[in-house]
Amino acid sequence: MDSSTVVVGAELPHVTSNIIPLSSVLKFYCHEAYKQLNTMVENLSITRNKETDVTRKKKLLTLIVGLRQDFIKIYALVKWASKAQDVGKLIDLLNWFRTQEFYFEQLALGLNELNGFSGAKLPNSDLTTSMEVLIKGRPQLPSYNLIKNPPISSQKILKVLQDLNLALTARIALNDNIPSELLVNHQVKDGRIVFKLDKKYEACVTVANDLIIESDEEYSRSPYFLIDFHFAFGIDDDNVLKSNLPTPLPQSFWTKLEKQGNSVLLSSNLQGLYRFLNNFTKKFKFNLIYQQQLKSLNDLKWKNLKYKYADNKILINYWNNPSNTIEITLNEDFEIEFKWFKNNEIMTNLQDISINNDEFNIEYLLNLILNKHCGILASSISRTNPTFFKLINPYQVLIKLTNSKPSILSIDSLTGNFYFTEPNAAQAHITKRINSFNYNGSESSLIQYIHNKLIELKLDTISSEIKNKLITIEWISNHIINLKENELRKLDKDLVGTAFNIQYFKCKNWPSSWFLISVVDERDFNIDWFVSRIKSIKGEWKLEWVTNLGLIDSQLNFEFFNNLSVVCSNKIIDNMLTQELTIKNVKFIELAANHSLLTQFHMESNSGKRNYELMILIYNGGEYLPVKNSSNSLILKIELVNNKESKLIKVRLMSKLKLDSSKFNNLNLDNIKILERGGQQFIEIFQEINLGNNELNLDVNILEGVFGSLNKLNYLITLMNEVIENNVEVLEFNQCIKIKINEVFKQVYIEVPEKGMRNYHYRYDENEANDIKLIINYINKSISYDKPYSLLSVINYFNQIMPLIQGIRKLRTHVDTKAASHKLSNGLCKLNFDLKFVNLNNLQLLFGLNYYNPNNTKKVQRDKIILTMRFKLNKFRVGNQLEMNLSLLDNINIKNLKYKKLFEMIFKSLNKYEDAVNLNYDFIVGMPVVSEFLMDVGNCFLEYVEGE
Amino acid sequence: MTTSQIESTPENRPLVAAVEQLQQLTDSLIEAGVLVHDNQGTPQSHQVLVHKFNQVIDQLDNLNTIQGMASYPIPVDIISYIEDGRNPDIYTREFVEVNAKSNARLKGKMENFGKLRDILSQKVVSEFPELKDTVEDIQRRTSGK
Repeated sequence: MDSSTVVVGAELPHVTSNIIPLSSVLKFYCHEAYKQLNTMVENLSITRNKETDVTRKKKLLTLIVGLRQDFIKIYALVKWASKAQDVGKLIDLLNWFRTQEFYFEQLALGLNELNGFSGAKLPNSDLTTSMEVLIKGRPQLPSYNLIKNPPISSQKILKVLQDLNLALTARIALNDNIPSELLVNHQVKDGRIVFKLDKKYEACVTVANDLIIESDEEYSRSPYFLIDFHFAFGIDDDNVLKSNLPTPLPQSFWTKLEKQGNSVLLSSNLQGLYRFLNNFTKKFKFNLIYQQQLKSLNDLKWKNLKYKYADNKILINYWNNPSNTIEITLNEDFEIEFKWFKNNEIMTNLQDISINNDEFNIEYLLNLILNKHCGILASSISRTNPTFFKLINPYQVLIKLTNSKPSILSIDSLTGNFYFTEPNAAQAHITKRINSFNYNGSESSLIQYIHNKLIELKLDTISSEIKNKLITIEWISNHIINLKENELRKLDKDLVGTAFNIQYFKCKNWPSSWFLISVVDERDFNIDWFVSRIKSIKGEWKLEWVTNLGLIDSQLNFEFFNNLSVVCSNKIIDNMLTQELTIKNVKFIELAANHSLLTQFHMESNSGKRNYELMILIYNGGEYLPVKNSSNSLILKIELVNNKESKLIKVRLMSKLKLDSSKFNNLNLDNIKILERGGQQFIEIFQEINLGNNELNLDVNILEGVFGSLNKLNYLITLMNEVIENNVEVLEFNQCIKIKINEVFKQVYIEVPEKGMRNYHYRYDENEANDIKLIINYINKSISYDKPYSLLSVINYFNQIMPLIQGIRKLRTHVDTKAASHKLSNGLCKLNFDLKFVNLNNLQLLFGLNYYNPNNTKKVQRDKIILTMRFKLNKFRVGNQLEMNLSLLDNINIKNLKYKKLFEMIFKSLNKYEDAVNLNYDFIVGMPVVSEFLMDVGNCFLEYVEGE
Repeated sequence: MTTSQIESTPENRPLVAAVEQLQQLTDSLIEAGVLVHDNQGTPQSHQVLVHKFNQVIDQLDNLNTIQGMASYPIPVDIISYIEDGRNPDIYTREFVEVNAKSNARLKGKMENFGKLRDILSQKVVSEFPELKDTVEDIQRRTSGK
């Protein structure tokens, strides 16, 4: 081989396993030899005394001989090593041979596997071979050496076709059993019979020979073969079923049809084929409608549609409701017909829904029917309440929820669901309820349900608007109250049984149990406002009092709500007032603001939005003012002034007054004014109460002050009348009356009773004499009990007791003067006098006698003689007058025996009065002589003292 | 044991040195054995023996430090052969024979598969003429030409 052509192959792979370099071998043996020598020498030095020299020599010799043998082997190895590199190359070469042999073995195995073609691969995209395999079932390889047939001549073909035409025409003519439709629509041409059935299909049959068959028995000798078929109708790209769109069958399908058609033709001739193809075509048409049209509907859009195909009809069920069905069938001419069942009722008179059989689209039909259904529903809903529900188009109903808030309820024709345009939460809830309503019965129950729900929605919307506005201006809503039917009837007797919404509110400054009630019901959707007091009694809420505010304002603006609070407060105060009047047992009626009586009383009304007025006519039967001094009617005007800061109640009580002005001109009471209007006298009591701006305090008795003043005035007038009647001289008439009764009682004040008292109070001047003070105190004490005392009886007493008082005063002066000259040695008077008031009808004259004790002259002793005086009626005396009874009975005791002489003197001096009646120790004398009588008694004592 | 001489080529110089060293070493070991055997226990004989042992150790050291010995690969089988007292050249000869046989067999396989390839190529080209270029390319790459 030329050196220039040497191909340098790749380096052989070098083998290194099981190869040791020579240096390593030498190194190992040298080291080993040195180590053994070293060990041996050390061992020998240790075993010097233990072993004989011979033994030790032998050991060393053995080692040396062994080592030498080893190194001789190494010698041989080193000599061999000159070939080592060549041998190494041979090793690499052998290794390479083995690798190559392995590859050849693999190659052989691979070739063997080709027998199974498991790994065989075809060349890429070889169209020619592919076509050959496709057409002939295998590749026509050049090595087959097939001989090509010469082409059949056109003349031959034409001849065969003409023969066939003739044979076929003859067979048609000779056969009586061809179905009429086939017979009418047949044509023999191109060696075949073409049956062209309009709007159905076109089928071609032919025969395999030119035998002319005359009878059915011979038919099996030359049966027809189905050679072509296509449908006359089909679906175009727009998914429209067209009646004149020829649709050929796919090849695989045609192969099956051909087989089946031929077997039918073989067994039952053209009649069988006719039945078979008719059936096939009908099924195909249904299939087009069902599989192509229905299934190609947008699943998302028509998700509520259910359809099935059975028994030569397609049943389409819509809106998820089994009672809504569209039934599609084919008639004898294969034309599409439909029936619509709405709520299981077949719908008739559907002129506006028609089917175009030439161009049929199921989606169009569905749209028509579903829209029609929506329209029926929407108009039914709008008819339930034409006032508030208005049909704005066939699918939408306008719902007037509130004046400002109309809402549109629409029906989704695809799902049959109802929805609101831009719904709020409540509307969404309602639609959810409506859409889930299961109306098994007729659709009218659904309509009724929707109507109810819409009414409910309207009520809720109005109510929530009220609630929102009220809560905005700090009203508090109450959810706890729940009134029973009988309580609701108190608000509106017809309320129960209608759909309504009731809400309870209160202002934060209202007392508990007072509420504002708003009621909306379905009859007119107006809001009725009530103020009421509601209490829970034994777990049941009861309306204790309720009044309709009579507010009708559909605007529900801020001003209305702002005013609402004022109106409610007024109603509450109004109720408080009338209740207070009722508790006081006042007979009253409320007057209209323009009542004619008011002008008589010169009461002008100035009520407005801020001010609230209540006019009350009170019947006066004498219990408030004496009728003769006033009229039998009083007017009470209550004015409520609402300021921002506070609430003011102005109470004004007016009455006509008929008084002798000369006697009453000094009348001056705190809040009472006497007015002169139109030549007539009026009395006006006025009081102003500030309720503050806090919680309305129901404990405040608004009318207490006015009625207190009235009561006081009543007493004063009554008293004055009595005084005048008794001809008592009136000294002053002011808060009280100052009168002069007689010479002794020159200034007595009469005051109207304190609260809770029934009788007048008598008062004296501070400078008055003690006895008079005493008497007046006793009188006040005596008449403070329940029993009423007339002024007259008191004046009578003052008159009766006057001579007595005068007599006693005279006696006292006399005794005091005379006794001054009769004194004991220590300067003490021997006689003194005193008066003791036991009660109004029991006066005691006390005479004290002082003397030295006979046994102990330094000790002064004192004895007391008591003369008791009482008023006594002497029934034996003409005139039935009160007389004075003077009794000495208290002095009868042993101690007083020493005063026997004194008593004899008294008896003697008193017996001289002829008129006097002496009864044991009692003397009864007439009042005119009582003064003289007492003086005599006094003289007796003075005389006795002198005699001593 | 082989007695053939090593050719004194530059490549074999370390080997020649090693052979010399080994010859001296074996000689020294024989002398050492004689000295041990004849040792009378006298100080002189001791002295001679010690000297001899030191000479052996020096020779071991020399043998150990010969340069260039690492370039001779020794198969383990050769060491086994020598250990067993067999001639390593027999191993060499057998190895050469095995290589020759393998070479012959591989050659046969290569030639036969080459023929198979040629026949298959011819058939494939005749049935799939369009594969001709591919087939020829394969032939060109595998014929070694």
